[in-house]
Amino acid sequence: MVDREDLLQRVSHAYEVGRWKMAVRVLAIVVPVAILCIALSGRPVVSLGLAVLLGASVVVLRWRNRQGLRVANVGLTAGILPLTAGLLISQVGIASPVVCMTLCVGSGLLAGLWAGYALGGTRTGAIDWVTVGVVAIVTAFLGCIDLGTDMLVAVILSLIGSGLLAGLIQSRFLRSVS
Amino acid sequence: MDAARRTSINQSLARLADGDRSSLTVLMDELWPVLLAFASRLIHERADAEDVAQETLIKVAARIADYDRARDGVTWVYAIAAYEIRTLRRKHQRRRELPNVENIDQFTTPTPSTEDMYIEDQMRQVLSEALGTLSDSDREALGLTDRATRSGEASDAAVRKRRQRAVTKLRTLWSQLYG
Repeated sequence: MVDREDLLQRVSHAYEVGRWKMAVRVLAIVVPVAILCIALSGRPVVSLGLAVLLGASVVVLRWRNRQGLRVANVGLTAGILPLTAGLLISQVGIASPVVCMTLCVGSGLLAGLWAGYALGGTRTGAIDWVTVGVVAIVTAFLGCIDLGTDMLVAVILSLIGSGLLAGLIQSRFLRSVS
Repeated sequence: MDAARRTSINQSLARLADGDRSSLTVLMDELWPVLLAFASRLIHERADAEDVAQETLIKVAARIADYDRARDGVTWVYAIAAYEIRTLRRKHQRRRELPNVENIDQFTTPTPSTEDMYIEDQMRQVLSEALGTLSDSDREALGLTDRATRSGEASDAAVRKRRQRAVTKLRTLWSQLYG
């Protein structure tokens, strides 16, 4: 005879283990990117802190529920573009502040547009928008940490601004269609 | 299974995959009779069928995070159950291939069979033939004659050396006679 409570406990344990396994798979992307950023960074301790924060937050978000999984994936994908731009600027050694600013703002705008487009088509609450923004910014910071405060602010503002704009446009469009 | 039940199970699977932990109990209550009936149809032992149903529930819960909503959930669950049944059958098959340790005594009876006795007799005969070809001193070194007891006259190292030489000779003779 099967003990229902015992079975429920085992099933529940298997469920949580399964969710954790699914959640930590994202580290296959986060860890190599973080190692690269820490290796190239002029401030490795700060980069390490950001990497730990990013890894922990995306794993917990993905473990929590499906919406968290989507939010973490969108935030991470959006942040990769400014991260790459930041690494390129610092490694190639672009001296012109105008070019640096253009690259930072451009990558931030594209990342925001992508995040807004990805989230706008679905039912998403304010907390999800904020979470996507935070994940994207932390990811972007990993690559842009050496660029200075003005560049970081430019990335944040362009990312948030374009994300909100894309989300608004898409929700208006969806409302008019329905 | 009727359509309403199928839809209900699919919805519970989707909710659980979304991260709604409260639907775990509901899903378990819905799936348990379905899985037990499925396993009982293919396995005659009630205890084995229950084991399969339990393992299937655990596997479903463990893999639900990767559940694809585009697929029919009930079919997915049945596929896992079928795999568990195959695994159990393979386990039983392997168990049948191994001798039963509890009844091992019946295979190792103290009285040897006629065949065993014949083989032993043949072996004794060929061994005595091989020993017969050895010299007296070699047989003495191997402790096969009465004089072996008097080997205390020589040193231990010398006795060991003589015994080793006699064994080597016997081995060579054995390989010459019987390959």
